Amino acid sequence: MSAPIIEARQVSRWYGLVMGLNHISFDILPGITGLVGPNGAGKSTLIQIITGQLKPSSGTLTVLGHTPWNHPPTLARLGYCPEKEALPEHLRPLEWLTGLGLLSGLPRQQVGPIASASLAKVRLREADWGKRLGQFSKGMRQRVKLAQAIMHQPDLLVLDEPMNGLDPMGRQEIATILKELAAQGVHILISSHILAELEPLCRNIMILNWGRVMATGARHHIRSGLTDWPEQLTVLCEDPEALAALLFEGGHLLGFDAHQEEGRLTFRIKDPQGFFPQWASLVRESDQAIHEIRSGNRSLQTLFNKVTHS
Amino acid sequence: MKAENDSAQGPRMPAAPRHPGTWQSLAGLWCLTWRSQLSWRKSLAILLHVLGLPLLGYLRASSFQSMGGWMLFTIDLYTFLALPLFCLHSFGGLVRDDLQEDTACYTLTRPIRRWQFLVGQYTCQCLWTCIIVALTYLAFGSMWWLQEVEGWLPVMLGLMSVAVPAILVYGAISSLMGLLTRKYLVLGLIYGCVIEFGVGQIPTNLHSLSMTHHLKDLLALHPEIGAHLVRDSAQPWLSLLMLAMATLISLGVGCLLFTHREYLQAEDMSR
Repeated sequence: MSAPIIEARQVSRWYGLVMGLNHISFDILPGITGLVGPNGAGKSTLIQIITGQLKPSSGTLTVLGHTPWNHPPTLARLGYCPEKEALPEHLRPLEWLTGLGLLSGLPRQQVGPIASASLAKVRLREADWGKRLGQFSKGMRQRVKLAQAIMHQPDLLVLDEPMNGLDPMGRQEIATILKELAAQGVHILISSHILAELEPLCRNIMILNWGRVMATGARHHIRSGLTDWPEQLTVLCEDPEALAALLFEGGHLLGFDAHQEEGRLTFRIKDPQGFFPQWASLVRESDQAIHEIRSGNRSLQTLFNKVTHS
Repeated sequence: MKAENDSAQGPRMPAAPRHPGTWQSLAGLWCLTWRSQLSWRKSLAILLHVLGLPLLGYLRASSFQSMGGWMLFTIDLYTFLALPLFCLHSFGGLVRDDLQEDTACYTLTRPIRRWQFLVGQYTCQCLWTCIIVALTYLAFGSMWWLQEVEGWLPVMLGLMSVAVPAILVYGAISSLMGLLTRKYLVLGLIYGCVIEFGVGQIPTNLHSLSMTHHLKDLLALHPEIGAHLVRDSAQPWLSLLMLAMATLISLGVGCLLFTHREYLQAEDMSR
């Protein structure tokens, strides 16, 4: 197992009397990790601590082995794309990226071409490069924000709601860029409200609620850990009642709901660990065509709802 | 490390040098500073700053009996009133403006120590303010030249030379005020009234606390200006030392504050 890129131990963060994070401990592993939680869950606070903008009130948090606050070697390996839309309104994208690139330690001779390459990578149209940032639409702002985060080739990219304001095609493009970066070895921590976007991107997730970590790790591990929440499957087949009878006799079911006319069987499984290895042979034994199998509660959205009790 | 996605991309290029040197970080901050000053709104404010008082003086020129009148108008109204207020506004907002506009996170997450960031911002702002102030004195000089005032050039150069320590010290004090409180304008006005205009005018040793007092001592060194300023016992070296100390102490305390204190939304949320 790879060493964690972010380690938090008993981290708390107060804002006066308000508690932003409440004694949280977690490890974030390499790869793409989704950070999900409702508003006020503490996502932004956590991201600001990770990017060295805030300090924990107590506990320790290390990023790539070091505390990020006022630590340039760690900050040099970080790329950050904030949720806020604000940009220096009077600058043009290349000017802004050039200034930030110099601050990131990019060589003076190369900073211009690197800035251009970053803007091209996030697919900001070249015709827009001459406009001031204040004239940019929400989607264009997201792209230029992402460009400044990736231009210095960070090892860890922290993205706070990077898909906000993008049209579906733009979201797809950003998702592709993130996948490319991940394939090149960049670790990505991405927070988003739109869970459907995170689903295809992230195998690992961390769910925050009320300043506490509700669950963290690979999605299927989190799902398996919810022992009081039976696994539910929906199957479209020729004879749902016959299939239900077979499964029931095998002692696999907690309950089922068969719709013979629609050819649909929804059932809750008693012991998922024991059931899934047998599932293929059970289907063969039933001797009928299965048209579709759908997991009722494995999606990120249902998992999130279950974990946060929302 | 292996990510779970398998896009067909090669390995990354080796990372660029990670740490900006002092000059490079200054270049980056300068790049962000001067370009952001050239918005329409700010350009108009600069134009007003550069031409406002010289034009006002020019229009009032008939009431000045001599170069002395003109000079005292410039010194009293510009060098020791408008210039400190300009410094208070621009240096006080050195970090606060970015925080207010929510753009500080882009620079504060770069690989640069916080004190270096503050000193860099301060240096760039000093440079920018020097340019504006030099333009203003040039505008004053032009008015004097138009009115064929005798001996205007050495006076203008003298005022320009003292403007540099004035910008450094007022800038450092204003930066510290900006880091201490969001209401730095109020704090600055109180400081100005109590220390610069209050204590500074009292003929006791307490007037050493006033930067205006020391700057006037430096101005008095220029014979063309000194003839019009009433100075009892000017001690230029002591004045220079006091100005340097005030600058360094203000900047040092500001750096300590900025290194250890958080300046993001924490402050707002704790209210």
